[in-house]
Amino acid sequence: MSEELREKEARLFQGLKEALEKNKSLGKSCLA
Amino acid sequence: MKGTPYDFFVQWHLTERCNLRCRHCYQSGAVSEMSCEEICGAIDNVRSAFQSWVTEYEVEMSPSFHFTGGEPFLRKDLFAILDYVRKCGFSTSLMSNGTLIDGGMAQSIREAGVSDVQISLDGLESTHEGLRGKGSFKRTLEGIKNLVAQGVEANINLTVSRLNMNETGELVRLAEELGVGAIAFSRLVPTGRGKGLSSEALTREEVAHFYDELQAFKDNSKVVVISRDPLSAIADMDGEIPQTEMPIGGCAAGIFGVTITADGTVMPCRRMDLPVGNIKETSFRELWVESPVLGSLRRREDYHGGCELCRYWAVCRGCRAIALAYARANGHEDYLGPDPQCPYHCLS
Repeated sequence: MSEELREKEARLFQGLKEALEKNKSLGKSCLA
Repeated sequence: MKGTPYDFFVQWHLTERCNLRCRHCYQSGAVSEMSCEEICGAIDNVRSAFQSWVTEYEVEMSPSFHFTGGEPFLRKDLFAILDYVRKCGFSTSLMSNGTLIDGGMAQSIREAGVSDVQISLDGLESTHEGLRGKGSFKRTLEGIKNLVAQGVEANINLTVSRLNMNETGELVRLAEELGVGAIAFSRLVPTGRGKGLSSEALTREEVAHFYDELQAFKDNSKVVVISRDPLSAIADMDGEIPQTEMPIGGCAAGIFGVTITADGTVMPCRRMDLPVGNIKETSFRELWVESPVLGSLRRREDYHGGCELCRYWAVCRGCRAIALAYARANGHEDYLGPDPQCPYHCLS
């Protein structure tokens, strides 16, 4: 995995963790 | 880590073969199937991504695999695949039309440790059979009964359209009688063969009316009544509306769910046929981060036509598959525009 992709992934998970820490509503809303 | 786990699911269409030919099916053609060995290799590929995310970003994950088809029970190696996934430590569930689940099959499902089986039921007998074929209703109900008798959690999923929107009360009562865990409702997506039913898709006003009515059943039924529609996040929202840069609920595409088709193609959702790569050829970890399609589904500024201004964006974003289906009907390849059935349009 390239350095560029790793940085992109790190930003993605930083945003995700912030959202998960603030909220409890993540859910599987649309299996089909 | 505080907060809630990263509840990630993989919806895996093991085959496109099916013993029914439903009028509203979003699948439109057969593709080659991966072998059991290839599927296990692909599961390892996904597992490796999960392990990296947990280790490198300290994300608490709750991953699950949902196997479907076509009709998944047409795959003779289904239980070998389920066994492999369970040994990897993942939760498994199945999505089926229920017609092939006899007593012996239900017992095998229980012994395989499957957490739940979602069965498609699209209305009372005449409506269901009008969509799924003669004789299918009783066979589906038999399948549900066989699962319940084995103590396997069975859940009903109904694709809502004008054809069945007025049968909700009777279907909830049927679900109670059958002893299922839940009855869930999803909107019709006019894609694949479902394009032929475009005129039966709900209008914005009908969606609003349907969710108002559904709320009463949620409050007054012995069975759990749920909606699998991103818009239901708005109808169900109680208290402060979360405002986050990353989506945290609503449409799963590109956020906490992904679809893998029978030939290994990875898509944001089975009803959004926008291939982002193939699991046999590319690392899942790279696909998840690198895909421009998945990336745009995560960015508010890429949306247009109303969703990007909505205060419910982080928990809804409408159904991206319905947005795409309607855009395509108008000659545009656009999955980031408005969900045309959203009655809460642009609540900025």
